[in-house]
Amino acid sequence: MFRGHLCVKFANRSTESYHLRSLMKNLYRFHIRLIPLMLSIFAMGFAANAQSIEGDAAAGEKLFKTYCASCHKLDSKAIGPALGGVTDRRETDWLYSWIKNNATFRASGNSDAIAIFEEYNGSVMPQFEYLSDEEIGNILAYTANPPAKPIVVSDGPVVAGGEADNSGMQMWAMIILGAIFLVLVFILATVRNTLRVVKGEEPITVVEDASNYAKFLRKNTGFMTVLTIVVAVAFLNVTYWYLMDVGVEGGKGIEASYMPPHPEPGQEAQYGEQPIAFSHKLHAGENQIDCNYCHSSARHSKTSGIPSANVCMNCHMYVNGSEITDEAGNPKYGGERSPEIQKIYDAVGWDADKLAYIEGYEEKPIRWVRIHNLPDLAYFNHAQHVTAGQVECQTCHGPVEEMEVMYQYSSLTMGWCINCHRETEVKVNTNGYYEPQHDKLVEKYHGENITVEKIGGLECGKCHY
Amino acid sequence: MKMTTVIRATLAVSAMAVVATSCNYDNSTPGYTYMDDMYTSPSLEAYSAADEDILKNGMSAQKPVEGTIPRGYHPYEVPNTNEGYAWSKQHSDVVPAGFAAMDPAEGKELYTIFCAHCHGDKGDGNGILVQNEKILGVPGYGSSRLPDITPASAYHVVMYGKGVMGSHASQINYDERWKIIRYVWSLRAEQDGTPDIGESVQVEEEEAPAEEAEATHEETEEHA
Ligand code: HEC
Ligand code: HEC
Ligand code: HEC
Ligand code: HEC
Ligand code: HEC
Ligand code: HEC
Ligand code: HEC
Repeated sequence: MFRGHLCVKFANRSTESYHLRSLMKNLYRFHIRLIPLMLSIFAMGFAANAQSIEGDAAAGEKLFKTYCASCHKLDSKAIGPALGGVTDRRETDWLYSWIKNNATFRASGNSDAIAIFEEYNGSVMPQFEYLSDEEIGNILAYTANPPAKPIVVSDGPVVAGGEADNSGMQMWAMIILGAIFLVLVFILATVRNTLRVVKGEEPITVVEDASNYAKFLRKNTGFMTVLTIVVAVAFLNVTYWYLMDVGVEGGKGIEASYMPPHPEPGQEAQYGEQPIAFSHKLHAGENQIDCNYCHSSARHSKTSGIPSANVCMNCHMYVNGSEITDEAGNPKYGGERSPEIQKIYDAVGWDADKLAYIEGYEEKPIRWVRIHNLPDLAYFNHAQHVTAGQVECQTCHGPVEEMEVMYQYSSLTMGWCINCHRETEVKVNTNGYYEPQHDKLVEKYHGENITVEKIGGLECGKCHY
Repeated sequence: MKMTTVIRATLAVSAMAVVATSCNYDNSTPGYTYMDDMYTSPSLEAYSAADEDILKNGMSAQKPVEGTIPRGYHPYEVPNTNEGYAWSKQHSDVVPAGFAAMDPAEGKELYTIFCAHCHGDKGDGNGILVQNEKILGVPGYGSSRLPDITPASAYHVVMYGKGVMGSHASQINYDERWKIIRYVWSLRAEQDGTPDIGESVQVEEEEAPAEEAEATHEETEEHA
């Protein structure tokens, strides 16, 4: 409680200072805005023909993000140099010539242009002759004066590891309650004995108590029978569930219970500690990347496949996690590269500072922990279900796009397979490849639903051989 | 009487003990299995770890020996350099015959899986990752942004990547690549507001006698 209170106070204070800061920033920005104005007045006054960095930074931001951001960032080197403050480094004329057509500009013999081209090992920047002077002006205004991002300050207390604290608290509460209970029992016994002494009777010890109960039980055979039956039923029940477990195979991470445990709402899945904290929620949910983009062999083969690191690199060459924010909206890694994404770079040998693969690097495998695993005695094929059967991934794997940590959603038992084969209809209309066979089936089962059972989906040999 | 109670009590306690200890709380192993051989495969399964001494890095998923050619493979020998890229813009040898006559709709689903999150469903360069500002500078396919790309240069870019776009060669096979590029070309026409390249082909086909058209159609299918 005390800590939470302090934090609230602290948060309030930082909101205040935030207001103060944003006020200062606005004042500062106001001044910055004045500069181009003053510059242009100067320019007019002296009739000099140097162009000033006039322009609409907001419009420039959009242009920058469309045309330049794949190669340039403002504050750090990407494929091309950082462009924040480039207007201080270079003449405005130089910049216009370079951006419009850097090839002819270099050919014209400008030494700075040739130098920067060589510094970047001859990486080619495209020509932007289709951008108007005004648009380039806007872009440059944006690089000189990017609109500040709002800093979000949370109102509530942010206690790291709050959840872990919680569960610890619960255990302590249990222990304390238990202790209180014991003390109560002790006090009661003492009170009773005191009462007996007051009445002039002998005090009773715990051992004597116990033998009294035993005597009572031995006399009441009816009660004993009931008790034995209850214990026996409980025992058989546990044994039954235990036997149902036998051989329900799972990879590391599967609890050996009949139904795999689903995490409670709001709670994270407990198992499956992966070498990289990969989140399906972030990728397949928030960024809506298709399952097949990463699990690209599901359409063609038995296994769905875990993507190799080069697939990750298709995005993570560029996305380095420095912009990830925590729940409160603050940078999660203080604007640095994410250590989790660095692990991908270490696996493939990507030098994120030079933005190139390291020559001769020995690639290291990422050892993902397997979660789904059928026993060898059963045969399951993804293409059969995903491509021929047109079953959605989510039907079997559950709401993957909401899983922060992957867990097994379905039981993967034989009963589960068989049930679905009894209920699911074969897609006879939308699967050109099997048209002749499907036509025959439709003829044979005139008017009936054609379930997987009808095409032999319950034959032992289809799954066991 | 007393003896049986003791025996009963011992039995009960030991039974409880068995029940209590036999529950499997270890998340890392399945319960007991009988006839273990049928559960775990003696041969390697896809992606399983292997003996480090035998297979490099202890991975069962090894790259094929260099120069291996799978069945139905189409080699692509243009080098991954600026020159190779420029070459691909001038030569169209790699483009399969009947490219223009392909049905663009075939590539739509594949395009949605592999390209749309960057280039956008309509090919306007405004996919979900761009909207979320995770990846920026993705071009739309219209000729204002990409004036001089050709189907062959697009194939080159899909094979090797370009700038921030990575290589997609490992995820999609030869036929799928061309289906996607064919769809990209229909999006390009849509962006430009010009007719799709397929339309001129169709007109030609319609002009030809019906029988002949069917024959050519079958032929192209065989080739694909
Ligand atoms: C395909 C990648 C790419 C794109 C897109 C790109 N650039 Fe560049 N840019 C480069 C590279 C690489 C260099 C370094 C010089 C070289 O190798 O040609 C560079 C250099 C520059 C320089 C010189 C920087 C210095 O420090 O001298 C400026 C200015 C510049 N780019 C502006 C832009 C603007 C504005 C845009 C958007 C309209 C843009 N660039 C788009 C790759 C790119
Ligand atoms: C960005 C790439 C990516 C996307 C998109 C993606 N996955 Fe995954 N998937 C992975 C990786 C990496 C793993 C291994 C790590 C793990 O288990 O979390 C994995 C693991 C899995 C597993 C567990 C495999 C096992 O060990 O048994 C399933 C099931 C799965 N994904 C299904 C899906 C489904 C369904 C979707 C679409 C909603 C999807 N994935 C989208 C990369 C991806
Ligand atoms: C299609 C693009 C794409 C692919 C492919 C992709 N990612 Fe991501 N990844 C992202 C985006 C976008 C983010 C979120 C970054 C952000 O919010 O700034 C992200 C974030 C992450 C993070 C979170 C970093 C953190 O510290 O919170 C990890 C870890 C990660 N990805 C791992 C992987 C792995 C492993 C693979 C390959 C199996 C992969 N990604 C493939 C786009 C991709
Ligand atoms: C009909 C149910 C079903 C559907 C539909 C399905 N899966 Fe699976 N998936 C399974 C089963 C069963 C396994 C366990 C296979 C094994 O251990 O051999 C599995 C395993 C996996 C694995 C672990 C690696 C492997 O291949 O063994 C991944 C990854 C996966 N599925 C992803 C997907 C994706 C992505 C889709 C959608 C394109 C999908 N699954 C659709 C049932 C399904
Ligand atoms: C969500 C429903 C669903 C589940 C769960 C499911 N299947 Fe299927 N399965 C189908 C459908 C639909 C088809 C028919 C595909 C087709 O059209 O050919 C099919 C077909 C098959 C076939 C081919 C049958 C034939 O005669 O061609 C096999 C083998 C198979 N499934 C094995 C399994 C196994 C093993 C499991 C459990 C691990 C399983 N399936 C779980 C829906 C399911
Ligand atoms: C649709 C696919 C499918 C069909 C059809 C099927 N099975 Fe199974 N069977 C499975 C799967 C999957 C498992 C493994 C489930 C698990 O992990 O417990 C299994 C497990 C078993 C087991 C338990 C093995 C063990 O030791 O755990 C037996 C026995 C068995 N099947 C017998 C049969 C017989 C007999 C038939 C024909 C009447 C049949 N199965 C048809 C999918 C199928
Ligand atoms: C990770 C996001 C991303 C994905 C996924 C992606 N692209 Fe790109 N693509 C880009 C970017 C960024 C560029 C601009 C590259 C440059 O010029 O530096 C680009 C450029 C292109 C170009 C023009 C290349 C040129 O010659 O200038 C084509 C054509 C293209 N992509 C096609 C595709 C196709 C087809 C797919 C799907 C298989 C695809 N892209 C998937 C990001 C992506």
